[in-house]
Amino acid sequence: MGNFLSATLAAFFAGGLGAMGLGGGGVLLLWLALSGTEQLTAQGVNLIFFLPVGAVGLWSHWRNRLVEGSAALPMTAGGLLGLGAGILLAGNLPGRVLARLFGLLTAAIALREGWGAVSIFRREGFSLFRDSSGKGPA
Amino acid sequence: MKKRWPAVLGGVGVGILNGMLGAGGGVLTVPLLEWMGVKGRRAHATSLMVILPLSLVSAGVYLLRGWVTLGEAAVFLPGGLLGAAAGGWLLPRLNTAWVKAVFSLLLLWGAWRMLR
Repeated sequence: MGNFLSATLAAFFAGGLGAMGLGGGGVLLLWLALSGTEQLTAQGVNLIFFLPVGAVGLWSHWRNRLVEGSAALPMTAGGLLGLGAGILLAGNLPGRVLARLFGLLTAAIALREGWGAVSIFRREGFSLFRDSSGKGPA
Repeated sequence: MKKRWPAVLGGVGVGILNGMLGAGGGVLTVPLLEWMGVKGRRAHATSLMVILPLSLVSAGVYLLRGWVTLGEAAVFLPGGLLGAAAGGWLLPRLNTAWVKAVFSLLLLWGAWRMLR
């Protein structure tokens, strides 16, 4: 039961961070990997978890005309080419190596988000909430 | 569209990350899109358009190879969808710098645990 609750909490935070434009998947994958789930299974859970959450986000952005299809198309085409190599590597590298690669990726995301936070703090100050006019920090 | 071939090449990197690690496409797509001239919220939105189909194909392959089952993932979906609704509600109200700062520290701790 405790495990179910902590899984639900991890999913809740991952979904929330994903909706806020942060890498929510990283949180869920970290929780899974650190709680002893086999690395490939953790990655698979993360991929499936992302589908409905990402679809809702994309639908909302599409309605708000924020999606630039002409920019996405060549990247998606390249991505489909790279996917085969990535899946081949996933199937052949030991789980421990995948976990360490994920650790490096997590560190890179942490530094990027940390730098993003510093930039916003320097520009907008340290208030926790946006002001009621909606012109607060982005 | 200018910069089409760099976008394809960058996409290859995104695909490798997505297939190999099951996450992390955004760390490449967003800066690449910004370099292509797609800025701010548009870059994040367009990034989803790149990553979602890749994740769909990856998830399909992971399922077919038996690396994961739908049942193992299903337990996380209700919490995730509730969290997404909460995040969507909080986004216009909260200074996201604080969220980024806490998120960044959490990830640094996780990265240290994964790498040690």
